Amino acid sequence: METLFNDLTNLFTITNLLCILLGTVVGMVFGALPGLGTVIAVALLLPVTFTLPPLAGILMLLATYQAGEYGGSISAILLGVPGTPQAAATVLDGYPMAQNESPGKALSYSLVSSSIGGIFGGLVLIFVSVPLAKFALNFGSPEYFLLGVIGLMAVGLLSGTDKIKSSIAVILGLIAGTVGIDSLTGVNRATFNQPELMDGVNLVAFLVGMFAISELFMMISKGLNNKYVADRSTLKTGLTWKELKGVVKSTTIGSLIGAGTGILPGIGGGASCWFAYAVVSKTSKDPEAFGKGSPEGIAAPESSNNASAGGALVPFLALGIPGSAAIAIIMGAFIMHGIQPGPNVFTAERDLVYGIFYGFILTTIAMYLIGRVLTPMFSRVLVVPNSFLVSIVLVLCLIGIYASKGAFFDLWLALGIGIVFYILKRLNYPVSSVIIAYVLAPIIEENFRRSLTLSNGNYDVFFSSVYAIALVLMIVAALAASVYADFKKRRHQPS
Amino acid sequence: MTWRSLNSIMSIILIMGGIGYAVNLNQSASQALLFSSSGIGPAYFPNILAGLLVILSVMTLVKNLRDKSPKNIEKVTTHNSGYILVTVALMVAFLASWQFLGFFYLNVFVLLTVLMTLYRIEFGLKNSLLVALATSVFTTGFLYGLFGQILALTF
Repeated sequence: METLFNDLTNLFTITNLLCILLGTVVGMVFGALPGLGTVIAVALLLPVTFTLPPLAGILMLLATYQAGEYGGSISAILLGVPGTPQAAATVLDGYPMAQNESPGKALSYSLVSSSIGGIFGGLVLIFVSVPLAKFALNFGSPEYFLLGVIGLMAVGLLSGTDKIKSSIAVILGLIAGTVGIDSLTGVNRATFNQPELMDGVNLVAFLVGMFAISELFMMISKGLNNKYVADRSTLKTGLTWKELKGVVKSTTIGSLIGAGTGILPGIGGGASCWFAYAVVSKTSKDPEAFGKGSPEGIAAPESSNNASAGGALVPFLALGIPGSAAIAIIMGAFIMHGIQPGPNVFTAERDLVYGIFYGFILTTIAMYLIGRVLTPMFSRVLVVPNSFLVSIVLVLCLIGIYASKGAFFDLWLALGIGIVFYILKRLNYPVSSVIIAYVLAPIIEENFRRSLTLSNGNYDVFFSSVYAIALVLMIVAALAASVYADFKKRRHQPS
Repeated sequence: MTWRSLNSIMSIILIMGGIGYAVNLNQSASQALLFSSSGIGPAYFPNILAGLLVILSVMTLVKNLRDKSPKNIEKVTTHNSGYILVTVALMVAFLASWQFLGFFYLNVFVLLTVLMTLYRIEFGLKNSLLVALATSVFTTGFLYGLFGQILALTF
């Protein structure tokens, strides 16, 4: 119960509220723009958090994350093009409803269910992370290493169809995370005589190169002057009580599925929205309406992807394991402020953690209010052609990288990373695995070495406790399930 | 170039990258064992990673070379590849000019104008140049106001 009663005076400061406001607006705009999306918005705002107090910076990124989830549905509903992968399921019913009934009504269902899902995710975050963190205090170095491996495996096994390419992506992220001075011995590692690499690969340059610059090249190849036509005649958002009652069941199911899948690293909003859509369409009283503009078909995926945002923060805060690329970037903000997420953060940074708990709910409320007022304005952004967006976002990327450390080396590095990752994306390497591995690399390596040093190089240390054995069994089970799934898929493929 | 060739080239680059990383790592961390009585020094974990990268890349290379599906021997097509190359070239020119000459906001203005003019060239040079100039003036002014004045960042 102590979670419920905490001093909230640190939360309601002008800086925090302005940061939430800015994050919400940026998240909604970037989420609405097909091709850009939440991850790029969070990556671009990351350098700004340098200049802010930790809570304000993190709340700004969380607000961006939350609002981006709703923003993705704006283009899904108005254009039939999902702004984010998490809004892909929303197209199925959102776009037909916008065409046949009213775009404003479809957006209202999306906004209200996103907000309910976000609040639900926030409550799950508040009530689940504290007990989980308390439980995780029993863990030692071997367990943390195994936990990190589970996080990587979840991401590696689930993020792509080609397991070898997924594994390569994970290894690339881990390698990038080991460059620089070794924190345990002070020895230089793989810096190629570049003093700028002694502190490691700059997180902002790495992120912006990998996600933003490579994505801008993708946008160029998709077309620079494609004109989207959006019906903006009836964009006023609002639902009657009766309409709201009609989607209570689907919103509840979506929220439960979203929060549950969000907690599991590697699954995230993209998969949870499809899962929620499938469950709700099967349990609905009116399954024939799905695909033709069913309100339930909008409410389920939208509540699910926002609930998964709260769920994804649970393993991140309690165990230090980020479950998605956006959360990995938010972890970057923690690291830049010298804070290591995990069970100890609940005692070491108590005000920050509780600020995040309640701040997350606040970001959802901000998303609802700003969504109600400004959705018609955001829909105008959709018609901006890529020729303008690419040029302006490119300059913003370069400013963000330079502002993070003031080093030209990082700009050249980001350009190189952008080109390499553009090719890797074209070859279906799952890029999100790279960033998760990158932020997990120090945790995994330090705990791996600490465990082996304590045991004089004996690998039995990874079977030395009940928790460690349970984690090893989970790894084996996940591997076996993945191999079995591959085997089954190959058997069903025509030769 | 086919997808098979591109995949193979990328695998070879990754193999070479893995080897290069391991060589550089072991040179720079040659004193590694001095720090460890159990042999678990600073190069231990990265060497495992380099080994895994090389093994996995070889596996991808072999798998790719054995894949004779029609999709794999299809030619790689990139729409607007010229624009991508021009964008990279302009970024290189922008970074070099900014790094060696300074004048950040002037460089931003020029980069934006050239990029937008090129990207909108299908609307005619005069039209695209005018629109690009107007947008670049506004955007550069906004960036100067936000970063140069409000946030007091120096570039």
